[in-house]
Amino acid sequence: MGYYSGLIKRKFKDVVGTRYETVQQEYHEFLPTEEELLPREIKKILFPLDISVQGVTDELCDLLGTFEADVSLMYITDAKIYAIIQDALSPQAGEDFRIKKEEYGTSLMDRIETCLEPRGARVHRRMFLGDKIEDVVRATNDYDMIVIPKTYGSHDPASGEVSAISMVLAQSVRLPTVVY
Amino acid sequence: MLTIVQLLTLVIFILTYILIIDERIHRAVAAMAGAAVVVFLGIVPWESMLEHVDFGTIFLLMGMMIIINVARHSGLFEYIAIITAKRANGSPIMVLILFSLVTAITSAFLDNVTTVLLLTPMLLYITKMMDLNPVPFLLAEIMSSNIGGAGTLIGDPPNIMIASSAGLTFNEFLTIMGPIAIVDTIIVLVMFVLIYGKSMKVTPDEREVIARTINGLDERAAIQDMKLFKKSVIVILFVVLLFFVHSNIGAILHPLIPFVDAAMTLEPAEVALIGAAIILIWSRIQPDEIFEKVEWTSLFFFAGLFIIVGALVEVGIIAMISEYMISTVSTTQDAMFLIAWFSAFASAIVDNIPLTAALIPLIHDMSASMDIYPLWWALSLGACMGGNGTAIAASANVVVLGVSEREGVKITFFDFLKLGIPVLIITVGVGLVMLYAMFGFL
Repeated sequence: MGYYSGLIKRKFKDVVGTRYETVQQEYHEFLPTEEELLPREIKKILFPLDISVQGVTDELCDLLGTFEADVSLMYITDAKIYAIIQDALSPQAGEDFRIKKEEYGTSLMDRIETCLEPRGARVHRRMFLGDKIEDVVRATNDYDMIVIPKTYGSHDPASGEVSAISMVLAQSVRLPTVVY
Repeated sequence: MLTIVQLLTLVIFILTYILIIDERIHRAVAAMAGAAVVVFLGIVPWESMLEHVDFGTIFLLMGMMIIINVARHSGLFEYIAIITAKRANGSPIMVLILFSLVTAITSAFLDNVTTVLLLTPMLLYITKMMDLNPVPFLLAEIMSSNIGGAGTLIGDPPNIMIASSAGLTFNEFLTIMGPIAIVDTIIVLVMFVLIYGKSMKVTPDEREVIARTINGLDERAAIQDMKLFKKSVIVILFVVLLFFVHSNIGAILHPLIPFVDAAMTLEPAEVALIGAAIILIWSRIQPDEIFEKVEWTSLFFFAGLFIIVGALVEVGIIAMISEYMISTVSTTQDAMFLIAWFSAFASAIVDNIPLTAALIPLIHDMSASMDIYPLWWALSLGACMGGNGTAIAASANVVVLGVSEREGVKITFFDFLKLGIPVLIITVGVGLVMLYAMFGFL
């Protein structure tokens, strides 16, 4: 750093103090960032699912179809509950629980695939035991967009309210997000 | 021949000014340390210390700082910036011209540092959207701020100091320095258009995209508090109005309120403090929240400077320089010429605030042998326009350069100098000719 650059920095600090940080923050609150201004290309969409999700609407399939992207359906069965059932009842009971959940998962993904593929989306499937928040957040690094069903992880999907897990996910991920 | 005390005072003065220029320690600390030494050594006796501190300047700055800090809370400056950008209709050269004009006008009535601190991030944002080199826009903003600030009593700290010390009124500044600021702003903008106009040309399609992007900004989103926004605008307009009438407020009020003395006047500092009191009462913002944002370091910097320069007065150095100047220059025109050019080039090196602090007592001292009234204007012209000379010549320069460097835009010392020195020479030259014409020397 040359003398001039150092001098400007010192004088700036002395004249402005910490006011610039406040100004920056204020501007940040109402000006879209450069990233936000750029049209973002959506090539890969993450779509987490679980037992609480009941399906997709045609409108959502239309929207996702417009991107002509790869849509990864990620069906997660709660690993902790699986472990508790295994410990409390028996390993077989745990397996029965997993198979039952995954049967539902398969039928759910079939329905979603039927809805998405005719609209131009390429559908991929994953099904595993895991954490409904952590595994999704970790996976978002490889995607351009996330679709969060509002009943994802809900204890009362019939109520139609946005679940706590969906809220946490929407607040945690740094991707364009669709909550439906 | 200098006495030991004079020599010692001169050394303390020079050392303090070197510390202020270099700023390795905070300039307020340097000024206070210098002041402490001259008081400790008895060069400035304790009894006369406060006489050297110009409280007119300090209270005027303090009042305006309070008003600006409350207004800032409302999002007023950001609102002005977005409206300005939208008016350009996607033309980069219009962005440069309109931002320069808004900066010049705002700087004429409000603090330069706050003005450029709040407008620069927006200017950088817009140049990024236009995909254009931001340097010409930033340089135009700096020059406009310094030239606009020269036009009024409250526009630039040197003018505040000169007005307070010489007892000049807001309207005197407006009628003498105002026209110079307007002419110089036009000249500088023409220079920018001639130098950078070609590089800012965009196709109609590009212009449409830029306009669409800028029009997408919502100026209402910038307003953080609509009630406070309206109150701030009203109080600022009221304060500006009060500045217009501060020197004849009694004559205006007397026919309406007979017990008001027709000869009553308000000091500029009183106007600022009245405005500050009104906005604090009306806004209902917690005063401690605002008082802690008053730039106390700047106020202590000014106080320290006044005491150090007071030391030069006490030991007779200012009188010696004044005698030398009087023997060198024979007429008021010569003195104006010398003061305007000296203060312009010296401001470019020293920073115009400490330079003005040192020259004010010198001009006072010359009053015995010549009419010093025109000299105040020469000093105002030189100190304010000299602020354009180098990157460190004025606080507004440092703020714009500091903000742009943080945002990854580098303007080197020589980039600035290449444009700053011609602007300094042209603006001071034109201003001096106008002053000669106003005072009948042509």
